[in-house]
Amino acid sequence: MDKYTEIVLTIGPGGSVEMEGEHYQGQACDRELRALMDALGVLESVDHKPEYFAKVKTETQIRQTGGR
Amino acid sequence: MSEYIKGQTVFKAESIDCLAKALEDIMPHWSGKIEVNASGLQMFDYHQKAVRAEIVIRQPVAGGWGDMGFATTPDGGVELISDEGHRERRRGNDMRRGEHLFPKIDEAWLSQLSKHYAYRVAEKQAAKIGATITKSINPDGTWRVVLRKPVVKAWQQAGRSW
Repeated sequence: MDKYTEIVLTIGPGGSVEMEGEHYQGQACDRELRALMDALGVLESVDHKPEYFAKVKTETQIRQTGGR
Repeated sequence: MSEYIKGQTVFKAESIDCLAKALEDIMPHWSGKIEVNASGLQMFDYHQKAVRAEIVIRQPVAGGWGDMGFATTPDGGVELISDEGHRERRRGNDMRRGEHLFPKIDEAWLSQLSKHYAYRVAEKQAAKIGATITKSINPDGTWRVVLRKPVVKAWQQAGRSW
């Protein structure tokens, strides 16, 4: 699993912006990118990559009690 | 990557502080001359009419003031308050007249301001989510800004130490 997530933002002339999330899993990317876009201005288009639909792995600890 | 977004920067009332920083970025000689007050300040346009604005840059002109400023709007936006003199002024003429505080307010200037504003908003957002921010310039002149933060696992978010 990646240790870092990144939002890569490209700021162009007139404040046009393009951004993509790197190393995210599932819809966490969606939340953070949209929060940034919301702060910046107006959303124009969204394109989802395959990772967007990936299930987020949950880390659970299973305690074996022994016996039946 | 999992999502790709395109959008357009728009000045927002909630980020008026970022706009003030962006103004200082592109107009370094305005440092210390930019007045910011979220409750509003009074400024005077070229015709000496009093106007309210949250950001004001004062400029004395013959017989009064020809301030420029930025005011928040009821819909959460920000509008530029400047008179025709600011918009039409040529820097060369200003220098000859000794009135060189203001640039020519045109599309190119506003484009530059928007770019710096976008960076300042990203910087504010980075601090909010606990990310570091770095900026580099692409060969085509666009800026590459990276917000990087460590992955926080569910048990860390819950504040557990086990």
